Amino acid sequence: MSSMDLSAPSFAVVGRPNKGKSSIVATLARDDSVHIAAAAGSTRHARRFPMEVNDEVLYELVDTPGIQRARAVLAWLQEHCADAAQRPATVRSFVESFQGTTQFTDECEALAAITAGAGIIYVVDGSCPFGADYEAEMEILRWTGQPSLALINLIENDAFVAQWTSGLGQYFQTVRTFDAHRAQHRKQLDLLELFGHLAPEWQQPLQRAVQVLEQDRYQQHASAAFKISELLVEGLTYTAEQRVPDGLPSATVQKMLYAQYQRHLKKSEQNCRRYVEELFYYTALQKTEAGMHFDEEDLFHQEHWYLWGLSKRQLIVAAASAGGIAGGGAGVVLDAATGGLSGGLGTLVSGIGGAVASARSAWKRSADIAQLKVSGIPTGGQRLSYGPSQNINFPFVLLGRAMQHHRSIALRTHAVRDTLHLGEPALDWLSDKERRSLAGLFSNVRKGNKSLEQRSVLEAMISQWCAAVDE
Amino acid sequence: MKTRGGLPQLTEILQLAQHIENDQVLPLRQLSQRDHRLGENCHAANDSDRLLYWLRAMEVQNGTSSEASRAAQFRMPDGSVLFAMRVLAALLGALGMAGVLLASGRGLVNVLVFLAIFVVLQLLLCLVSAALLLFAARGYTSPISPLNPLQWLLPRIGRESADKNVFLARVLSQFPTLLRLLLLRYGQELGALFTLGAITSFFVVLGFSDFTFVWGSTFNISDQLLNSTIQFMAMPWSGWIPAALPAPEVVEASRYHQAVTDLGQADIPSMRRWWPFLITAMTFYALLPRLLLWGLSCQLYRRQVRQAFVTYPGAKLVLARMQAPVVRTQASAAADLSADQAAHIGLDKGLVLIDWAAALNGLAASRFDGLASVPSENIYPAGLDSPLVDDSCRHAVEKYRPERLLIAVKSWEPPMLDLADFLQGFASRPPCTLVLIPLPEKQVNEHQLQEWRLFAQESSIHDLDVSPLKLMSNAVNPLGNT
Repeated sequence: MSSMDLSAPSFAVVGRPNKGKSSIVATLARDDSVHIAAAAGSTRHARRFPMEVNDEVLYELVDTPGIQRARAVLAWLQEHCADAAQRPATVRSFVESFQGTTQFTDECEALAAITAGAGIIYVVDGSCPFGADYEAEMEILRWTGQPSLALINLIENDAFVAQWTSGLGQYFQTVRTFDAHRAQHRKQLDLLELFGHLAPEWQQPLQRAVQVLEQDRYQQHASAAFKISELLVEGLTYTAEQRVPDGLPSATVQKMLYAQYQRHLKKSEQNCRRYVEELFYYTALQKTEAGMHFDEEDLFHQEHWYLWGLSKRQLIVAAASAGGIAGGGAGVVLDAATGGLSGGLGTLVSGIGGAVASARSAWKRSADIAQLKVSGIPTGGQRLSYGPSQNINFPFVLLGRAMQHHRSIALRTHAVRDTLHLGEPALDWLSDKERRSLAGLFSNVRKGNKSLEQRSVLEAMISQWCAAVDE
Repeated sequence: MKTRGGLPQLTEILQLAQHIENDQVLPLRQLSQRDHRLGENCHAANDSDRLLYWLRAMEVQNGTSSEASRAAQFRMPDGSVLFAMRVLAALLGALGMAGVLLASGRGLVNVLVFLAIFVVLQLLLCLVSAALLLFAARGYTSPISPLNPLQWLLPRIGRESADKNVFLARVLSQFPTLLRLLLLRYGQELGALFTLGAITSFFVVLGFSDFTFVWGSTFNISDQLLNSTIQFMAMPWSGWIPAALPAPEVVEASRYHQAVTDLGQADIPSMRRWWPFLITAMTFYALLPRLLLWGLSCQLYRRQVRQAFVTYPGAKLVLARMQAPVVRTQASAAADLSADQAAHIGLDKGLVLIDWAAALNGLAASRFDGLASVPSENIYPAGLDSPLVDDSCRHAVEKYRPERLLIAVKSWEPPMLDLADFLQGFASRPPCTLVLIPLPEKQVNEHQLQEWRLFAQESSIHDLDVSPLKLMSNAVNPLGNT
């Protein structure tokens, strides 16, 4: 359970309804559970978003309901305040007077956090013009005496940013523009660092928070790379296979295997995506994407198996080996009987003879061997398999899709509620050298050559590309 | 928990793979919290030891903490099988030597056969092993052939479950070098024991039987050729063990042909002078290379197994989670409540909550919907430690006489007699509710609910009902995944 640290800086995100307060909070808190609605006044209660590191709160964001009766509030404050020194106390008195009543509910929710010591993050919309009617709420915020910062949120465009910068400059020491829907990770961290500059004692915890978030981001990319490399290895090596006793029709099994192959790879890809989304704290992401095509010629393989698993070649080699050993054994006895005077000739001749005879028998009688049954279980039959993919482009397609998904997720902010559209993946960012390296890696993974080392190299490469998203 | 340093076992790699696979279905936040907690308590100096510590902790959690249970889980050969193989190798060596020495009814031993079986063949096998070792060390392993023991080992190493077999075969097939080194290591050990057995047998047979060394072949080998071969073979030791080099006269005198039916008695003692050479040759060309290869394969195996352990896909993530802080920026249910709202949560002093078998997983009851009104001082643990703790919990409840006793239980576990006994022990039979805690991201399903309802019906407590816990909208995860 989180321990609320009273000394941790707190920032109340305040402003008029529908100016993107919740979007800013959702982006900075990386929380897609924040309710963001097109209708004004969707936030009815203050909601806290503590940034916890090992249960220690480094800072806290408070999403507040919009201030809707600023003039009336200001009037009350002015009426109850004798001089400027009393202003913060008067605001506290206002909150105490109206908290729990039906009057000024939203305003009390917003101001309660500030009077409790939170810094002010005042949010306006840069695509709407500045107006004097905003001054009442800005004045109320000034009355609280708390450190403050103004954010111009670019909801639609930046048409009135200059106007706002000038107007807000009268009330706030620091004014910044911030696009909650498009802000990249670095910009988000810069903003948090800026919060730390509002009060000297907040600087250290905010700096630490930024460091932790940077590490966390690095870990997110590394974990995503692990999962993507796992998906690629699966795509390159997965085979759906089924053993069928001789005489059974194989057509149905072939269909089943194809479906199993498809289903497995699709599921692997979905798992990978779900994992990446979870890594980046997306819990309920809607997305549309083009399906993956698996149809490949010649992925069906049919071979016979003998003695519960050997291929014909293996059967012959095994028979030859067994024959060689048996013949050689007999030869050793023969040589020993002559006191070794035959010079090992017996062993050599009977070993070779045994091997040849056994291999020949296995070759000629393999069909009979397949028909053998032990305890009613056939010892031979057919092995049908589908996969692994031999198409040299397939792993590139898989990688392209995974990297595109990762990029979309990593660059998306938690304020965005639109469906994520994943189009045709492109790997044009890969250099020729990287393509060649990848082709070599894919080929080795397919063949099972030094698979762990190859996978490790692949993971490192993907990790670099994932991290490059933030550059 | 103490950190067990040292070399990871093959079964531990398999276990690591199994845990990493199992972890894939768990929420990331839960994994971060769990592994961070373990990382905080782990003081191991290197990654391998840190992973071993993590593994031990997972074992304790899953109740598979002994070597035997690990071996049983993956059906690996245990110590007794290896011991039997070692004994068998030494026995084969001893019997082989006894057979060669006692084969002739006339007590004749052909030096060439002796050398072929116990020196040349062993040396050739050592050379093959050395080549395989070299290839394995450089990461090249031939594809699995039908003669390779791995062909048979991989599908049989797991339990009967097909899924388990597939899993094991998949994991082990990623370590061809490691497995090859393991087999080579055992191969060298068994080979050395074979030769040791043969040497021992030589001296034992010598004590009970008399035999004479001769040499002869259908190939036209001259005395001179054999002499120079023997001198070449004895080069490494002829300087400091001159007795272990048969003189040319001995070689000449011990030449034998089937046609010779009677050995001159005068030559027999000189014929016996072969044995120091034969034993030294065995030691030098059969035993010593085996021991060297054994040492080398052990060293390579150790290096490889440690590398395989820490580089297993996903191990790096485990280590990173152990070292990384648990970061959270999202809203939590507790933090979501403003001070005013929190003040409005009424604490019901008539309620007592028993956290049965740590169903709450260390989280405060206030973070669960339906349990928030239980005063924190009215919460008792039971069902986890010794029965004495249960008794003291029951005693406290009896003394308090709550209006309703809540018992938080894990919904995903079946109700057990342990709990029934605990309830039976209440003399006052307090009105009671079993609060079913769901799994992360899940709700209590109908089957689980039915099971617990049946348990409630059959309980000794008359007023016992069952209430599945519903997660709050911004869900508090009962297993720590908030």
